[in-house]
Amino acid sequence: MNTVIEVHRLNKTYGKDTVVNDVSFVVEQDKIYGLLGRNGAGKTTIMHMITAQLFPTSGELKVFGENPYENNRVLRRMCFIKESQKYPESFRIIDVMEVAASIYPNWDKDFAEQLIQEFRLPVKRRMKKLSRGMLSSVGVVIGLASRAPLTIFDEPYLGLDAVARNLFYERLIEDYAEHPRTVILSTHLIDEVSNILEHVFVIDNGKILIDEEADDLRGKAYTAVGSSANVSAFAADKKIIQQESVGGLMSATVLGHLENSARRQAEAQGIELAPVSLQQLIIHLTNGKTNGKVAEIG
Amino acid sequence: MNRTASIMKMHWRDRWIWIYTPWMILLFSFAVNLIIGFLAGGQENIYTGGILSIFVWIFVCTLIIQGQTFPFALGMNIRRTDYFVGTIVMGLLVSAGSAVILFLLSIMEKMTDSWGVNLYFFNIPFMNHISPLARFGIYFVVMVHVFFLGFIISSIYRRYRKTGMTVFFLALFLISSIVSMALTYYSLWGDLFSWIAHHYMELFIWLAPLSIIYALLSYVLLRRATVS
Amino acid sequence: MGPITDDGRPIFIQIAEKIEDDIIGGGLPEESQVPSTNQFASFYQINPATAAKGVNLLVDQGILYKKRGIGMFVTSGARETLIEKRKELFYEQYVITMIHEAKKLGITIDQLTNMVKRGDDL
Repeated sequence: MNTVIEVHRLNKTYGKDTVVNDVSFVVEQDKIYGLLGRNGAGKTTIMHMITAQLFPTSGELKVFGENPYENNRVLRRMCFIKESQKYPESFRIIDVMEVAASIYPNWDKDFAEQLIQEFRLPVKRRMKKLSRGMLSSVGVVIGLASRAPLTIFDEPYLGLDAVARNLFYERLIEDYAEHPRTVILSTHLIDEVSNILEHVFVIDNGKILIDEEADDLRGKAYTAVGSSANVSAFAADKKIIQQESVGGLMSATVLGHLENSARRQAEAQGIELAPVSLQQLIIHLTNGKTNGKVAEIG
Repeated sequence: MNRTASIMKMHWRDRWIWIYTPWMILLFSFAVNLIIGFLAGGQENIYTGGILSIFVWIFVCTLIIQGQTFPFALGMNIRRTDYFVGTIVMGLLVSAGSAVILFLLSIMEKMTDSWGVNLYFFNIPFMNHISPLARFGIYFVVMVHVFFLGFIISSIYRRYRKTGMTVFFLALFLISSIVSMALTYYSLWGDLFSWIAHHYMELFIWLAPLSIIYALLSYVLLRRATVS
Repeated sequence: MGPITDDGRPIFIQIAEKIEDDIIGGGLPEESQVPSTNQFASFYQINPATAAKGVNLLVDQGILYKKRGIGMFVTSGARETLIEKRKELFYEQYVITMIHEAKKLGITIDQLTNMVKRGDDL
């Protein structure tokens, strides 16, 4: 596997605020990554540094094996779609598309036009008159039609309704299947994208909390529900990330693979086991109660 | 495609701001003055200074344009260098084009004997004494200077944001206050004006290296500017 | 075919199960061509790499085989193999669970057998 991004001990501080804290990770070619985490976790800052729009305070950062800063060999191969993108006041959608067409080497004009129709974008309307959802759609169209070897979407669907989001996922999968490329999706709508992702990074408080294949992460945790006494005994030697009691019942979310022996023990004691979805798992891990101590789960 | 060319094409989309609007304002002002001239029957000499509007416009336009296009271009994964080169080439081309048109209009003004109504619109009084080529040079160098002045102020903002602007204008205010106080204290205002009156051509020539310094400084600043 | 759910099980396993279901149900006869990885990915809205992983799981088990340059096909005898495997799973997943639950409710094995017969009459 070729490495597309290599980040080593990356830091970004603003005065006393540490926004990105000693982050290291590797992104491999032609995979779809999820960069997940709560708002303000540092996702956007990391992506701005990868695209050389912000400067790291310290640490190493290589994209396509090189420093991305002022480097066209790197920048030509990437497309970064962000929620905060600004457009010149006078520009209409069509102007933005034509500029994008002249900038991105792999731009597919027909595909862009198809997407513009599907997202029902009024091409002659000025950017400043667009709704939040339309602005997001413009970003989605550019991100898909640019076919950049490294495509980064940062919260690409603010203001998009469920239909439009679904359209985005469909087109992304289809086009990715035909034109494989490295995609990073940053979002907090984890449930919606969890099936698309191949690898997941979870960021919390500027630190990487999880760096794992999505399928390995599934089944990383499960919830056991039963009588308090039985569940306490069952979970005694296990890592509990969340626990709740109602009357004589207890629910414990346990981190770790469910072994067959444990399953049999649970069944014998009338404990019900339920899987934990990616979203639930991440919520458990980032709700602050665990103080990032679960970083060593793997 | 060359990304510098992409930047120029991007600016070309704003040709209403870069070119059409300032020329419309200038030509409208010219037309009004021409009518006044006709009505006055050419009895008096009319010096309008209306030509200044296009220089002021370019200055303001540069301030605004950079604020809108730099974050956009960087967001589209353009190098800062490509943005810089594309934008200044655009600025130089617009300045050159405008200077040529101003020059041609000033020639027409001479040939028509100030439009037949003693209207001196494109010729500023002192220009009567200089060669046509120098006239073109002045249009061009002033336009370029104004462009880079707007560009560097904008670049300071891109790099240092509000703090940079505050420091810049505070410094400008302090320096100009000190200089004018000194000139007043030593009663040098008169000397200064008479020096300028005799050496204004040198001042125009000095605008050229000054513009280059602005450009270099802008480049250094933009290279470290960020977008979020 | 139901949708892929985020129920804690790896998606590639869910994909493999869907293909298995289709083979057992007769939707994919033996020696017929299986949809491509990309078709699976679009249909279920999942990552093509994950779909490929599910398909490869079945290739490893000899349920599917690859014809070079054409695609994936169902092996002869795949249905029989799968049914045998599922019977074993059926015992573990349903019978054992059912007996556990029955014991909890005080249902005897005889009563359970009667219930099964009653269910079969429907």
